[in-house]
Amino acid sequence: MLRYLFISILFVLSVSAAAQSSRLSSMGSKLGVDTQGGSSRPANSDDDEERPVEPKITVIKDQGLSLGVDLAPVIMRFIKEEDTGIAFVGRYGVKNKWWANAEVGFQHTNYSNDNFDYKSNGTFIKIGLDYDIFQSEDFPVNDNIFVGFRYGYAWQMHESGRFLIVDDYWGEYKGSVDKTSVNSHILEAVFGIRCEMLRNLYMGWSFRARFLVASAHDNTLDPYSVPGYGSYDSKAGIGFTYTIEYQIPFNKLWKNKEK
Amino acid sequence: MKSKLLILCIVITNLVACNNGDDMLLSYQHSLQTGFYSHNTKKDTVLTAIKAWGIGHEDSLLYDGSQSLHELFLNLNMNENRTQFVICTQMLRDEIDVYYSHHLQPVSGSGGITMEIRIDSIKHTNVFMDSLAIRQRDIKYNESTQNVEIFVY
Repeated sequence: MLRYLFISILFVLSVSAAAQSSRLSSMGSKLGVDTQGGSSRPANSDDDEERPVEPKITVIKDQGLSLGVDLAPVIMRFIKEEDTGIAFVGRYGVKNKWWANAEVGFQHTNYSNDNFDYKSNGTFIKIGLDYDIFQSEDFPVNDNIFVGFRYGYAWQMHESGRFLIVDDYWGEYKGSVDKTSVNSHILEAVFGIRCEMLRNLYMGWSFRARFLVASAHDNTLDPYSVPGYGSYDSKAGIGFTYTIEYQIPFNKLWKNKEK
Repeated sequence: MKSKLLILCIVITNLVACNNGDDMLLSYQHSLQTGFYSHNTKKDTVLTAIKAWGIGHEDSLLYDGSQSLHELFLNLNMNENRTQFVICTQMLRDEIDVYYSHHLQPVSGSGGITMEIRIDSIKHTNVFMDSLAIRQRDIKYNESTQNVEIFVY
């Protein structure tokens, strides 16, 4: 229930941010007009009875290198207090609708209860592509709606300082597990929104369908949590990101230089 | 376009909200689940006056002979990679010898620790037991699948 409320609030905030961004549509957006496509008729035809050719409108958005921070691990700390982490994101516009992405993050897990202590320190890197499906003539803004994918690799060192399992018949099984490494491979399907809040400053969120495709570790202790993925005991799950990014618009600078 | 996007976002938001499946209770059972089957008909069968205990723990019985059963839950000793059991029905007595590996498995949500066990092999004597078949090698948290079928004469 708490999780639902949290995500609903996040969703409402982002929708209102998108609306606000639409009102600021004059900032940083361009409306390009392409009169080449769709007709072989010359534009200055003197045949007045012919219907005028509808120009094909293409929204050209600012693209460049974006660098930012993902605040989802910080927010998740309030829900899953054993995990502490931060992630940094970078994205680069490779074509008008295509963006290359890279994410790097760190996660520390410290869990303890009556019969189990667990610690883990790890990092992850994710790379992938996003496709911007948002093209609106009515709202020619720099905002994006992305669908995409990520491949991720996570490395962590984990240990259990103490564990206790009680069996009704054989009694207690207890001990500790020394520090060992874990290597995991992750795939994600991404759906997300990114809004330009101020000139070149973006806020966005994304939902991720995550799949833990492989994990290599010594056969003593399974990880409690995998950095950049979540709980190890479910091989598929849903995650989210909440990013604040600054976009360096050097694609535009290059265009200006060429002029 | 905008209304379609809103509907899509709401659907995804609800899907996330419904994915909260961590409210499970943690059980500390690490039992080999076995069932009795007739050697002739291959159908499940009931043995009467079942008595069972672990070798090395003879002072305590898993089953005390007061019941007629078609399946047994045999607790495996986590301090070892091998557990031997004696199973008696009426005046007949057999032993089974279970070899396995195990590792610790944290359980998120419930916030505990359990053990995942993989059965390597099982040996047995042949007084009333004809043969054994391992149907499910893995004994996992929160799964109740029969691991071994015991075919009796």
